[in-house]
This record gives sequence, structure tokens and C-alpha cells, in this order.
Amino acid sequence: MSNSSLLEMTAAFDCMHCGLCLESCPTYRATGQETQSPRGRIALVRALAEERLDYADVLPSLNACLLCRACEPACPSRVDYHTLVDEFRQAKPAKLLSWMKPAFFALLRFLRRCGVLSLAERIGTPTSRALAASVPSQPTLFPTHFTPPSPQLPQRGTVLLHLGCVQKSFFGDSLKSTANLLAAQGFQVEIPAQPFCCGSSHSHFGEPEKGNQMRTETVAALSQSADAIISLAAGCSAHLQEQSSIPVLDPLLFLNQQGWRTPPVTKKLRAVWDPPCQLDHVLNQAGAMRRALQECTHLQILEPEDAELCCGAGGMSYALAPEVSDAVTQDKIEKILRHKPDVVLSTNPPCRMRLETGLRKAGFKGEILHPVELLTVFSQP
Amino acid sequence: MDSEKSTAGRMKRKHLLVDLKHILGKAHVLTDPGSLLAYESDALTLFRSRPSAVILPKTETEVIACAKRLHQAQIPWAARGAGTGLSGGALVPPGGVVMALTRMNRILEIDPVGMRAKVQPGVVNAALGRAVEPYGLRFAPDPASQTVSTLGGNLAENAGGPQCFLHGTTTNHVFALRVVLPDGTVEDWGTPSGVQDGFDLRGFFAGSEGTVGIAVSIDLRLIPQPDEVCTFLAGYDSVTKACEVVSTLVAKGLQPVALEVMDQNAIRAVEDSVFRAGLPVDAGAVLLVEIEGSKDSVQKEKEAARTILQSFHPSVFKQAATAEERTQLWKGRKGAGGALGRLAPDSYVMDGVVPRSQLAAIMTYVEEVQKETGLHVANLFHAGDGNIHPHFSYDARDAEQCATVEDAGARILRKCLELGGSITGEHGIGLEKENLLAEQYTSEEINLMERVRQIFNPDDLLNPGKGLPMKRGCSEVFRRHAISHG
Amino acid sequence: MADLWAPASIEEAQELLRQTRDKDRTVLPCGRRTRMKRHGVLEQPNSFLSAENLTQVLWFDAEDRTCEVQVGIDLISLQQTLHERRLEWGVCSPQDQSGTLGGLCLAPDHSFFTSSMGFPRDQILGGQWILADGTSIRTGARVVKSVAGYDLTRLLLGSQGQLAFCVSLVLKLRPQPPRIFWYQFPAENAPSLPHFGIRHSEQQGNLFTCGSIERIPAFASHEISPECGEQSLASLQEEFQKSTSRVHFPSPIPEELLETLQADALAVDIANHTVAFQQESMAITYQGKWQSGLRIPSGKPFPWAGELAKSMTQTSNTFHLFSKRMP
Ligand SMILES: Cc1cc2nc3c(=O)[nH]c(=O)nc-3n(C[C@H](O)[C@H](O)[C@H](O)COP(=O)(O)OP(=O)(O)OC[C@H]3O[C@@H](n4cnc5c(N)ncnc54)[C@H](O)[C@@H]3O)c2cc1C
Ligand SMILES: Cc1cc2nc3c(=O)[nH]c(=O)nc-3n(C[C@H](O)[C@H](O)[C@H](O)COP(=O)(O)OP(=O)(O)OC[C@H]3O[C@@H](n4cnc5c(N)ncnc54)[C@H](O)[C@@H]3O)c2cc1C
Ligand code: SF4
Ligand code: SF4
Repeated sequence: MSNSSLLEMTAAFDCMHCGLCLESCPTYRATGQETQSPRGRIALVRALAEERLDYADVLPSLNACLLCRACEPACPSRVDYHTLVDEFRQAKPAKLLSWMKPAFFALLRFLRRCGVLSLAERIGTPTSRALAASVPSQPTLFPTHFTPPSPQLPQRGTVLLHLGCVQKSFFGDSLKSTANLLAAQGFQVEIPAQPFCCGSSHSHFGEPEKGNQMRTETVAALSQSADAIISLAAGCSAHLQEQSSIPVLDPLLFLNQQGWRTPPVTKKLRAVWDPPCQLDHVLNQAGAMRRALQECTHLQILEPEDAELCCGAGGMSYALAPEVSDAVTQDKIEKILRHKPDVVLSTNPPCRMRLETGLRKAGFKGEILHPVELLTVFSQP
Repeated sequence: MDSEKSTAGRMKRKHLLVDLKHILGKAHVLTDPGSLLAYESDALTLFRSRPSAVILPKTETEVIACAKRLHQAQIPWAARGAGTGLSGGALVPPGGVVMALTRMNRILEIDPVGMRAKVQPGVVNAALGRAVEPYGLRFAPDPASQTVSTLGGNLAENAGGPQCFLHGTTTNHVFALRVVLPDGTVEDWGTPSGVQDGFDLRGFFAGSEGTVGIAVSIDLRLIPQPDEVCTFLAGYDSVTKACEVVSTLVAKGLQPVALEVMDQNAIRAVEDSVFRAGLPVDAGAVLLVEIEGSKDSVQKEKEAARTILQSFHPSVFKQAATAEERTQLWKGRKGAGGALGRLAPDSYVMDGVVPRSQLAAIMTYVEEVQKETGLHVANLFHAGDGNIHPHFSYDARDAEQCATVEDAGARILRKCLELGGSITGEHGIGLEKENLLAEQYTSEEINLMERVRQIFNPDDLLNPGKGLPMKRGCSEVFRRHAISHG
Repeated sequence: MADLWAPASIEEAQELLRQTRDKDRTVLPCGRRTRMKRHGVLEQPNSFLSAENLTQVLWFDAEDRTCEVQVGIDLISLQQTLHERRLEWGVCSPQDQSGTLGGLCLAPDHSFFTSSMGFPRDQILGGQWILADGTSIRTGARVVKSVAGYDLTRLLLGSQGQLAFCVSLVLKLRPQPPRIFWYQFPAENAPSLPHFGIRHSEQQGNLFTCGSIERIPAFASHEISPECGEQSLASLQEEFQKSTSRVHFPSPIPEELLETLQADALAVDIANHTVAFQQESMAITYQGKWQSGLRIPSGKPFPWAGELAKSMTQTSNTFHLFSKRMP
């Protein structure tokens, strides 16, 4: 992006440098640095546009932005913050984007299983280390030819299952559980052929056009008539919802809206749920999800203090600026562990990976799950 | 000769940085251009000055060690909290070092019995409020920036807020503090119970704008949460009318916690922002009155207030029915400053005080100035304290307009003085108002302040050039900027 | 024997100081010296400079609830003047009101309302002072809120005559509460409680039910308030049960009190000088004042005293510290 258009954009921004956004920003909270705050980032981009700084000076700060968008509601000037970051990142798209292919995920799965990844977690660049550490300890692939069970009769409706690249490659089991659960509750589950990735990361890490195109393709693939598109990844949901005419929902949220046919049963557990930022700050569904979780699990769903702060994943920001992200994650993990949970719930794959990395490092022995699995894994007949 | 000197200077600086990194760890000494730029101004963007390093200590020991080292190097430096100050207080002259205290954010002790809390200076005002709430307590000073500004910054600026009408400003809520002086010596000022034995240095420190020392721990007074709160909103056709109501409320002996006024421009800005509070957009001004206390006392005070408020024929009159409604009203009030910023390329917030009996007079004057200059002015102010905050909208790229705004500001502040007031109620003198200070105080008085400063900060290396008129030539080190803020 | 100067005007005071300026004489500002007599003077000055003849109310802004008074005024006349306008200074010292306003504010201050209103100095906005060389200065402002320049008012209040001679103070006033109850009961009727008086200011509400909790000498109890209502022991105890939760002593709890408190309290924490009563809703700060006068928690010696005094006075005749610390 050229300086002049950046300048025009920042000028349109109305940032008054008031600082009211500071405390909502997880990277500022974790580091205490103005440079790691929304106000600081805006000032930096503006200085870049005014040619008072070079691109390289600005990059570390902008890279570390988790794009959680918690700063936006705090801003009295209604600064459209994420647009600034999206546009800034266009100048140099993240290299990682080109790796988001099935083969790369397959490789990671393989390396994890044969134990090479634990080695990679210790050597290499900060980025590769962070990436290696984030691969779940038992990744499961969603089988290519999976036929969802037929719905319990009477059938209530039809849903389309969105798979998602990370979800499908690492958390295949959750998708299976989802399909089974939905069928058991009376829904016909369709899994149309769809692109590997919906392009959410591309949109936020420097290739917005490609991201939009991938989204268009995905939405087109999921355009059959149905009650909802079901996605287990809040990040994908937020991205797809921008274009999709049917609601894109987490399965539990959807089922809670529809009403449970046979209420699921769960063991008595101490469960902590950390709401994903996309759900909270973009989709505004954190409240509804919280209620859905309470109602279907009959558990008191605990949330870490300052739950609205990002866990440090920020899509793939954790790999781009591991140091800042580590500080954010560490803070989050401490707050989660204060509840002494038996299980930790997450409804977005990158967050789930990030939390797993952090929790395991802190010696946490319990499970880290999507709540759908809580219902099946622990449900008693 | 010159280059020799500068090489020596560079070496000196390098050694200093090495030592600071040794004290704090590499990650907490920032010297990259990006980081330095982020610290070049606070919430008053009129001034910019890029420091040569930013250091972020976490403990008292680190602050002391850094202070000693900086003193040894004879480098100008200053503390910074959240950088929401509105007078350039957290800026250092080029080459100086900024000590950001944001990492010192631990609440050290809450003593619900003694109704005190001991905090590190980087604790955010609202975070303390959240922490003491379960004990039925609160920290009374509530600047509009309370969600982000630090208690250290609040103390250094003696911040106030709506509730300060009844409860007093920050200075009235500090029992004791531990101060690191510019040379690294540590002093304990005040006593844990607040009883003052001898010189009240704790009171002196409040509002000293970071020029006396660095507060590394602060003992604050907490007060109980009220049993009951009642908030009235009354719309009147003009600001002057609202001011008359305020004067009447004060004169009739009512004791609300807060008395706030917003004029139509402010109301419209709020209603057009995320802080939408359901204010009447057609009213010339609204008055927010909050009453707190026991059930009985609120009941009585409420009726008295209602009678007075209604006797002035409000166009709108309502009482916040729920806690949410009340929160929304206050969010609107506290977000108003921000909401206004959205309206024009630049916004300039003034801060002056008049006796509460002169509120109508000063507002009439503000209106006159507005008419004369044609500037857009919005008013929202702590009426109960006589603390006015006209917000001027202008375009900083227009030099002529800048001059007009500056001139209008100065005229209004002079009028405040003429009416027996002060040139700043809560934002401080900072870099901006030093010249006017000489109109509020005689040269002898300023001289005395200067002498007192020299006792604590003899070389003027800690936060140089703030609070008091600078020696000739010094003020130019802080570049005045007309930045086009969007 | 030291001289006693009691100028009737500021100019006279200035003149007196200018005259002594280079004569190497020591001058100690004072009021009626009641406190001095009680506690003694550390070092006899050559002259006392008393404000006792400076007793005017300089101005009064009822609408703004502020006024400026010369500090020689005694507290009774002050409050009377204010009460006429249905206002009061949120500070009163009912034990002995023969001293001057200056004497109260220039020394470690305390009032009955400290626990609800803060310290007397919290209710002072500014003042006029004369430095040792005769220069007159003003500090603070006449408005309730000002952060212009250093808060020298605070520094000077409590300086015990070491830094400047105080001429007048600007006071922040509050409306006179519509009704004030003084609960008072004789010791023999209350075996479990010492001779306490509780001030209940209705307007402040239950939260601050006890503006203060104090021991009141019998002689003072009648003068306390023009609108006092006498309550029975029963109602007092009821009041106690309703609202009292803990009493915090800045200094060790006097032994005489300890016994009685222990009988009544939930817990007594001797190390922390705290007594906890039944309920959690409020706390009362007791300022450690006993018959013997003001008891001040001992702090460490103040290293800046000399320098400050020097810098403020800048002449050979420094004002003298009359007494550093009480036993
Ligand atoms: C939107 C907005 C609303 C505001 N509303 C109000 C209001 O209602 N009332 C009000 O009074 N102010 C208000 N302000 C001004 C500002 O928020 C206050 O002055 C606040 O107290 C500053 O705190 P800070 O942590 O941001 O301090 P900074 O701006 O970082 O620093 C302010 C000064 O304090 C010094 N300092 C900081 N920490 C320390 C320390 N530990 N020891 C010694 N010195 C220190 C600094 O050197 C500097 O001189 C507002 C500002 C904004 C942007
Ligand atoms: C029985 C008794 C009970 C008391 N109870 C209380 C109480 O409840 N609360 C409380 O706060 N106090 C109490 N006091 C102390 C009270 O503050 C003083 O008695 C009185 O107000 C002092 O007035 P004074 O004019 O006699 O002061 P002085 O004894 O003349 O002076 C006291 C101090 O103030 C300085 N000073 C006085 N005037 C000036 C001036 N104009 N300029 C500069 N310095 C000056 C003097 O140098 C001296 O250090 C009590 C005293 C007594 C005797
Ligand atoms: S982004 Fe908004 S909240 Fe943050 S500094 Fe700018 S105007 Fe203020
Ligand atoms: S998007 Fe999140 S991480 Fe980025 S600046 Fe805003 S709050 Fe901070």
C-alpha cells in the first residue's frame, strides 16, 4: 500500500490519541508497552505514512497485533481499527499463508506422531518453534469419505457442515462428534465438497483479495438451502458470515436455538471456557454461547478473569510475533488455571492449539476440547 | 572538539543503555525507532518529543537502580503512566529517557478493615475499583479516563472526576506514598492512617506532575459503597439555565456526589457515538445529578433535588430507573470527550475553574468568545466543582485557526482568573500553560515553587520543564506541533 | 522572656518581620499558644508572632460554599458565623475551642469528622502567608479545585510554624446537616463501652453513620451541638449493632480501653491496632487521641526540614520549629 493512501486512511481514522483503548488490548496488558497497543500501532502506521518511520520499524508492532478487535468497542471515536491492520499487512503478506495446504498439515501430523516435532519445538527460528509447539499432541484427520449418520426421526431440518482447514486437519474427531450429535438431534447433516480453506487468514494476514475469493468459493459450495452452516471455528464463522446469507453457527449455539430434543448429559466437571475473540468482538455471540454451554452441559461454565482478552493465538499471529504472544498466553493460562479446571473448552481451533501448548507447558493434565466433545466423550447413557 | 564531545556522548549513552539493560533485562529497555515513536506524545498531541530510550521497570528496586544510574548519567527523564495526560506531562526533551510504569501494576494490599489499599503506581484506576468492590468499598476519584489511566498518573496530576464534587480529588484520598527521588533515594511520605505529622509532603506530591519524584507505592483511602444511588437527568433550554440550577442546588445546601452539565453539541456527539445514553438531543443542555447515601437520606435529598430541578422547568426530566440505565448515562458522560473528538479533525480541551457562583458568567463568556471566533465549541463540565471543559473543534492544518483556538483558550482562562478561579482544575500545567501560571501567581510565588522544586529535584533532570514556567529557551526543546489528527 | 507580637494587620506583621530580618533573631508564628503550652516549645524563640488579632472573615461566597477567614479566629466564632448561613466547616474540635484556626491547621490536624470528611486540610483550598523576609504570598486558589503549580498550601499546613506565618485560609464549606445526633452516655451506665460519643450526621447517611467516634470529656458534651438529641444507652447500643464493624487505631490501643473492647468485640487484633465488631458494613477510624492531647504516630525524622525551612525563608532569622514530636 502506498504511503499516500495509508496517510489518507489514517487521516480518516479520527484517532485522537486518547488512549481509552489501551486496557482492552491484550498485547498492551501483557507487555505494558505503548508500542503494543492500538493507539501505538495507529501512531506507528501514521508515522510510516508521514515518512517519519521505515517499514521495518513498524513491522514488529503490527505483526504482534492479534487482530482480536477488542479495542474497537472501547474507542469513543469508533476507529475502524482492523481495516488499518488488514491494509497494512497487504504490503507484505505473511509467508505462512502459502503453506496452508493439506500436504503441509499432513506433514505436521506425521512429524508430531513420530516425535520429530518435539525436537523442532526446541530448535529453529522463533516462528518455527512456535508453530511446532502449537500442533496438538494427538491430531486427528477428518476422513475424506465420511457419511454422517441419518437423522433421528422426525427430521427437524438440514444443516451444512463447514470443515475448515485446521479443524479438518487436526481436530477431525470434533467434526465427527458434531455430525453425530446433530443427527441424533434430528438434523440432516450435509457435507458438500468445499475448498480446503475459507481464506480467513488470507484476509487478515495480507492477501485480502485472495481471502475474499476463497470465501466466495466456500460460500458458493455451501449455498444449498439449509437452516444453517455449522462451523466449529469461530474464526471461519466470522469470515464466512460476512458474505453468507444463511447463519454460520457453532453447533451448540445452533442446537440451543433450535431447542434440545433429548437434553445431553455430562459428568460433573470443572470446565473453563475461554471465549474466542471472533465470537466475542466480531460476531457478538459470546453471551449466547455462554448460555448455550450452561444449558446443554448443566455445568457451571467458568471463565477466566478478563475473559474478553485474547488468548494470544490471534489466528496465526502467535507464529509471527511469538514473544508478545507468549506473554499474552501465559497471562491467560495463569487465569485459567486459577479455576483448577478438569477440562478446558475452546470453540476456535487456533485458540485451542494455543491453549493446549500453554496448558501442557504449565503441567495441566486435563483435556482441552471443543464442548461438542464434552457432550459425547462424557455423556452417560 | 565538537565531534569528540559527541563521540563521548554516544559512548556515555551506550554505557547507560548497557547498564539499564543489565538492571531491567533486555526486553524492558526499548530503543528501536518504532517504540520510541510510540512514546513521543501523550493524549495532548500538540507536543511531540521522541525519547532516546524507554525503560519499563517492574519492581521498586529496579526503579531505584535506574534512577541512580540516570542520575549518574545526568540524563533528563520522566515517569509515564498510561500516557493519557492532557498536558504533555509524560514527555521528555530529546535525548531523555521515559520510565513507563505500566508493568508495576500489582495491588499490594487491600485492608478492608482499615479501608485502605496499597498499590503499585501502574495499577489502573478502574482495576482498583474492581478489586475492592467485593469488600463493599470503592476508590472515589473517577476521572473520565479511569478505565485506562494509572493511579500514579492520577496522583501526579491530582486527577478529579464527577464524584469529586462530594468526595474530593485524588489528593484527598492518599494516605501515604513511597517516593524515589531523582537521585535514587527513597522516602516514605505520609502515614498509613493518613494522620500527618509534620510537613505534608504527600499532599505536596499530589499534582506535582512528576517533577518531584516517582511514586513507587501508594497507600490509598477507600470509602464504602453507598447503600443507594439515585441519578437524575434534567434537560434545560440553555447552558446558562443549567448553570443557574447548579448554583441553586449548591446554594440550597444539597450534597449530591456529582453535578455534571453537557451542552447541546456535547449531547449530540454522545448520541451519535457508541456511548449513546438516551440524552435529549433537542435540549440546550442537560444536567446530571447523582445522589448517594442511605435509603433514608437519599429519599430526602432526592425530593429536595427534584423540587429544585423541576422549578426551573426542565424540558426533559427523568430518573435512571435501573442500574444499567445509570451506568449508561455515566458512560455517555465519560465518553463525551471522546465522542466529540470524532466530529472535527482536531479537538482542543480546555480546563479552567471558576467559583460555582460564577458558572453562568463564565459560560456566557465562553459563548461570546465562540460567537466572536466562529469556532465550534462543545461544553461538558464538572459543574459541581465549577470546573469547565470547553472543547474546541478545529483543523490543525490551518495555522490561522490554531492561533484563534489558542487565543480563545487563553482568553477564557484569563476570564476564569478574573472571576476568582484557576487556570487548571485537573489537567495540570504541563507544557502548555506555564505562561498563564504567571498570571495566576506572582513572580515571588512562582519563585518559591521553583525553590521548593530544587530541594527535591535540584538539577531539574526529572521531568524538566513541566508545571512551572521554564527558563528562557527551554520550552523550545518540546516541539510544538500542529499534527493533523485525522 | 520572649516577646509576644500580635499584629492587627498584615502590613504590621510584614513590617515586624522586615525589621527583625537581619538581626539574627528567631521568630515563632503562633496562635493562642494553647497547644504550645500543652506540649512545650523545643527552643524558645526571641519572639512569638501571634495571629490572634487577625480574626476577620475576609469574604464569604455562600453560593460557592467557600469563604476566606483570617486564622486568628477561634473555632466557635467561626462555626457560629457559618451556621448563620446554614453552612459549616466540616471540621470541628469540640474538645477545646479556645485555640485559633491557625493553630489547628498548622499543626498535625484532626477533627471529629476525619473518618467521613477527611482531614481538616482536605477542606482548605488556599491561603495567604508571610515569609520570614516579610514577603506576602498566596497559595492554592479560592475555587474548590485547582492544580495550578505546586500545592504549597498542603506543604505549609502542618508545618508547625517552621516555614511561614499564616494570615488567612480559604475554607471549603458544606451545608449544615439538618440534624445532628450526639449519642452520649455516662461511663457507669455502659460497662462494656468507654465514654464514647458518636456523631450521626443524617445527611451523610448510614454509611458515615459515625462521622467520628470519640471520647468526649464531660465538660464539653453540652457545648457540642446546638441541635443535639440525647439518646438512651439502649438506642446507642442499637446503633452500634446496626452499623459498627471495626475500629482502627493508628497507634497501639490504650490499655484502659483494651479491656472494655475485648468484652464487646468479635476480635481484637492488638498487633494491628484493630478491633472488629459484629458487622462488615463500615469502619471507624479512631485517631488515637487521649486526654493527654494529640498523640501522633511516630514517623522517621524528616530529612528535608532544615533545607525546606532554609529555602522558604532565605534569611538569617528562620522560623523555628516549636516542638518536633510529642511523646
Ligand atoms: C479521554 C480522557 C479523559 C480524561 N478525563 C479526565 C478527568 O475526568 N479528570 C482528570 O483529572 N483528568 C482527565 N484526563 C487526563 C488524564 O487522564 C489524567 O491526568 C490521568 O491522571 C493521567 O494518568 P496517566 O496514567 O495517563 O498518566 P500519564 O499521562 O502517563 O502521566 C501524567 C503525569 O504523571 C506523571 N507520573 C505518572 N506516573 C507517575 C508516578 N508513578 N510517579 C510520579 N509521577 C508520575 C508523569 O510524569 C506525567 O507528568 C483525561 C484524559 C483523557 C484522554
Ligand atoms: C484540650 C485540647 C484538646 C484538643 N483537641 C483537638 C482536636 O480534637 N483536634 C485537633 O486537631 N486539635 C486539638 N487540639 C489542638 C488544637 O489544634 C489547638 O488547641 C488549637 O486549635 C491550637 O490553636 P492555638 O492558637 O492555641 O495554637 P498554638 O498553640 O498557638 O500553635 C500551634 C502550632 O501551630 C503553629 N501556628 C499557629 N498559628 C500559626 C500561624 N498563624 N502561622 C503559622 N504557624 C502557626 C504554631 O507554630 C504551633 O506549631 C486540642 C488542644 C487542647 C488543648
Ligand atoms: S483508537 Fe480510539 S480509543 Fe484508541 S487512542 Fe485512538 S481514538 Fe482513542
Ligand atoms: S486487535 Fe487486539 S491485539 Fe490488536 S490492537 Fe486491537 S486489542 Fe490489541
